[in-house]
Amino acid sequence: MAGDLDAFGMLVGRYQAAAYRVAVLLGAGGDAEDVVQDAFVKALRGLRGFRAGQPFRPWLLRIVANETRNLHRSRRRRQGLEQRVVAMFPEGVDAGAGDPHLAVVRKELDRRLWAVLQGLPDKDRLVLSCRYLLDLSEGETARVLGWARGSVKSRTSRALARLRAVLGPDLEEGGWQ
Amino acid sequence: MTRRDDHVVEEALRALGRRFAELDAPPGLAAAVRRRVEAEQVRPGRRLRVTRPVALIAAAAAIMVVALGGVLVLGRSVLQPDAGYGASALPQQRAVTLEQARAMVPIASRVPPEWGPPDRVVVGDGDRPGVMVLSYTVGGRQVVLEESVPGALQIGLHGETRVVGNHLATWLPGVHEERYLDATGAFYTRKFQASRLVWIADGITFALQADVGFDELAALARQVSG
Repeated sequence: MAGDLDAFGMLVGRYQAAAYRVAVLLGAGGDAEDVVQDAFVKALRGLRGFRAGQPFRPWLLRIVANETRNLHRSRRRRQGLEQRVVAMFPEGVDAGAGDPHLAVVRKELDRRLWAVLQGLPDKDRLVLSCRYLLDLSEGETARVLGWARGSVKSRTSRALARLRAVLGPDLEEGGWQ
Repeated sequence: MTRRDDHVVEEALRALGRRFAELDAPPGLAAAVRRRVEAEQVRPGRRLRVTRPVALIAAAAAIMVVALGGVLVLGRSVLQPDAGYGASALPQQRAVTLEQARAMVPIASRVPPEWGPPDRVVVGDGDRPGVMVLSYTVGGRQVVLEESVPGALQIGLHGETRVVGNHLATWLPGVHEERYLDATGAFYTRKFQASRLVWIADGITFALQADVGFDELAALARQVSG
C-alpha cells in the first residue's frame, strides 16, 4: 500500500507545479492549494477511469479546472458575488529585460491586463488563460476545459475580440507594444 | 481592429503568462495530499479503489501506452542510445559542469565529498532537465550516481524492496530497463547493463549504478544519504 502511495506521490511531485499554476490562473486565488489537493485526491480515486490513449497531464489538469469552477460556484452561493484573484499577481518576475524603468512599466501593464482578464465572462477568461497564459494548444485546452475543439477556436476568437474592445484605448496608445 | 492589434493582444497575454511561469506549488503540498489519502483509507466505510495494486498497475500501464505513443510522435526511440556508462542516454543528453547541473535541475543535489569531483556530469530532457547523472571512479570502479526530481524515474511497481541505511530502496539487479517521465509528460525507457539501487531522500530520487553486488552498492548508497 505504501509503495502504491509512493508511486502516486511521484506523480503528485511531478505535476503539482503545473496543477497549482492552472488553479491560480483559472481563478482559484488563495484557495489554489486546497483546490490542487482536492484535485489530486479525486485523481487518485478516479485512476480506474483513466483510459489508455489518454494523456495523463490534461486529464489531471481537467480535474483541477473542474475543481476551480466548483469553487467559483460555491463562492457565488455563499457570497453572491465573484471573488477575483488580483492579489495572486506575481511580483517577482522582471519583464523589463534589465531596464528597471521598462520593468516597472511592464509590470503595471501586466497588472492592468490581469485585472481586465479577471473581469471578462467566465468562458472568455478560461479560454484565454488556457490558450495564452498557460500556453496550451487548442487540443489541450479542449481536454482541460471539456469543450469541443471547435468551441475552443470560436470562443478564443470572441474572447480576444472582447478583450481588444476593453483594451482599445490602451492599444491605440501603444502601451503593450 | 487590425491583425496587428490581434498580435499585440496575444503577445501581451503570453507575456503575462510568463510572469506566472515561475509560480511553484506551495511547499508541503505533496505531503498534504498523501496525508489526506492515508486519512481516507482508514476512515470506516470509505475505500480508495485505486490504491489496490492491480488498479494502480492498470493505470500505470495506461499511462505508459500513452507515453510510448508520445515518444513516437516526438520522434524519440523508446530505448535511448547507449550513454557510454552501461546505460541508455537521457533524451537530449549533454555534458555540463556539476555547478551547471545544480543550477538546471531543481533539486538540492548532494554528492559524497569523499568521492572527489565527478569524472563526468550530464543532464537530459532539453531545457527543463529533471535528471542529472554523475560518473565517478570509486576504488577503481565506475560508479554512476543519478539524481532526479520526484516522479522523473518511475520505480514504484517493480524491483525488490530493501532497507538501506534509513531508507527503503528498490534493488534492480543485472541488466534491466527502467521507465522515466519527462517534464512534458512523455515517457521514455532506458536500458541498464548493471544493477541499480533506487531510493528517495529529501525530495531527491537517487539511483546508484555499479557492476557490484547489493551489499557493496548499499554501502555506497549510505555514503550518499545515510
